[in-house]
Amino acid sequence: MIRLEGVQKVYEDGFKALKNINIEFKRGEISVLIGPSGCGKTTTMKLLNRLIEHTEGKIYIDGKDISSIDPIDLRRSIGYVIQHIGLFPHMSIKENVAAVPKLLKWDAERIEQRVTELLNMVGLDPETYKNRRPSELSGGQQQRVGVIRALAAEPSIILMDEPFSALDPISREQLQDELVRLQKDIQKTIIFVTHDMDEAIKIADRIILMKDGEVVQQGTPEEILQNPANEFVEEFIGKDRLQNYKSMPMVEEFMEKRSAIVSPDMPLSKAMKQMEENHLDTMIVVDGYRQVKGQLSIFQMFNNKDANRLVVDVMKPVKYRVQTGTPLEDALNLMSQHDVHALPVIDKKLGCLGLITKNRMIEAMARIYSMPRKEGA
Amino acid sequence: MEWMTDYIQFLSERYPDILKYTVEHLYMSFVSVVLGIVIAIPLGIYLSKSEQKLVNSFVFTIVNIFQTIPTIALLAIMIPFLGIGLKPALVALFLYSLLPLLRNTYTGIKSVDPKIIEAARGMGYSSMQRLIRIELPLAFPYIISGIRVTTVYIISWTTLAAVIGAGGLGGLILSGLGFNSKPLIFTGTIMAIVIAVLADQLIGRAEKRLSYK
Repeated sequence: MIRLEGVQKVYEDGFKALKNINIEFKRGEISVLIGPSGCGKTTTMKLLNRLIEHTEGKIYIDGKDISSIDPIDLRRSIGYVIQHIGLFPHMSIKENVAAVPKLLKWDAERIEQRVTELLNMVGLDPETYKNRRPSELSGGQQQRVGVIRALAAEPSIILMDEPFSALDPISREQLQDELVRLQKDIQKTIIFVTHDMDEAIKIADRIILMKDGEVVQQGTPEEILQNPANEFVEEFIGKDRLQNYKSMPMVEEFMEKRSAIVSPDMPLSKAMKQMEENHLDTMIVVDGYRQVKGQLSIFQMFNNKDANRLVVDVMKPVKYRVQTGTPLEDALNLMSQHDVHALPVIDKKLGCLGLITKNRMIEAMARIYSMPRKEGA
Repeated sequence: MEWMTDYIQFLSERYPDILKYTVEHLYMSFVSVVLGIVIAIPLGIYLSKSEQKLVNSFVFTIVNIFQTIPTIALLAIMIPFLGIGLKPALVALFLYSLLPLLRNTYTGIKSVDPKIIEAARGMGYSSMQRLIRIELPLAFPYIISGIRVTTVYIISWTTLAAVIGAGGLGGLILSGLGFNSKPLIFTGTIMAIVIAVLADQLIGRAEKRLSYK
């Protein structure tokens, strides 16, 4: 975890680039620093590997004050992806990826192995690409190499400075998707600087919005979209995007509430009755602490016709769930992606509120379709 | 075709002398270029890193002035300080080699994309590692082309060193002038050209092999 406490940056000419910054970057999350140019987002990022030194306040990485760490060592322990790719043109792809491991004096075999693994990870065939020069690769491929170069020495923190901004829109989207997919496996603490709100919403676990060297608002993309702190934030997000977001219903508006919830110690006969009464084919099993214990579907009922058994004996574990505030669209995507019929809806404290089912989804979609489209805005 | 047989006869009689002058010529050019490289390249690197604009412009002005002094004059100026012979000639030629080497090294290092430098810094290269593994390889095409140009110039200017008694192919040409001997003048000139072209080709080949592009 990275913590900035009362951090300021004042340049020699008196210019205050950062004023009293307090941020916490959580482990394993993608935190996006965003704001108009000159807001201090890049400066904030560069404080973390001491490319820029702060003039006041404290910065801790895993509880350690970074001003007590040698900058060279610090930088080798943090991955860094820069804006204009910044691959070394005189080195092969392999040498580029191996740069930091080499500085850390890994042995040749370990480096070779790591390079192969990383190239495979981003879909670049090692045999084809490892001996090529950066100039022989497309922009998208180059930045893939830029990303894996930052991952090479297995840092737990990665800094990304507008890494995809120089790419064409198609490669950019691809790389964003890939980053999100990669992050599921690698679980790094990623600090990502961008000025593109769509990009931020797409990849961020947490967005930190900055202006004139100050943090204006921070929160999950949903929180910021739902409650923009002030006019500047609204402006920055864009009226259209807000309008779209607000007109898209959330899962909690359409979920089944108590009717879909059964307790683990309920006999199957009673659960079956509840299913019948509410026309449900799936129910969610929730204990007295509002924790999701499992799900009970009509298939399990069919296979266990003994009415005396309890819900807890036949229920199946739940793999996917959605948080309140998730747009219906996302929930639907999740359902079709993983071929599930129902998703439990949980609140911020992970307590279960209800269940969103395909039937309710149909109802919601029907309502969206029947809504008169607003012209203009 | 009489002149041809005459010339071949001349060559067979005088070849030990021609060889001696050629070797002297090569030696002087080589030593002065190497001296230039040893001094100018590190100096160029230092200047490209130094933030002091005043020092930079001072050094460049001095080196520029050496370059503007006519060759014959610079050689003559050396005599009161270093006498005649090999030593003053080497010093003069060395001074000439400084500017192109210095300027190309400086430009080469300065031309490295600052984004690449920043990437290297952010990845944890120390400044020495950055210089050796990133900046010098990237500046190499500039530096080697500086060496190439300098070498060709110096080989040509070395012919003037004979004026202050340092020998070399210029000696051949001067005695040709004295005896009104066309073959001597001709041979000295051709040999100087051949050496320059060969050196140019040789360095050009090294440039191709060693540059990353």
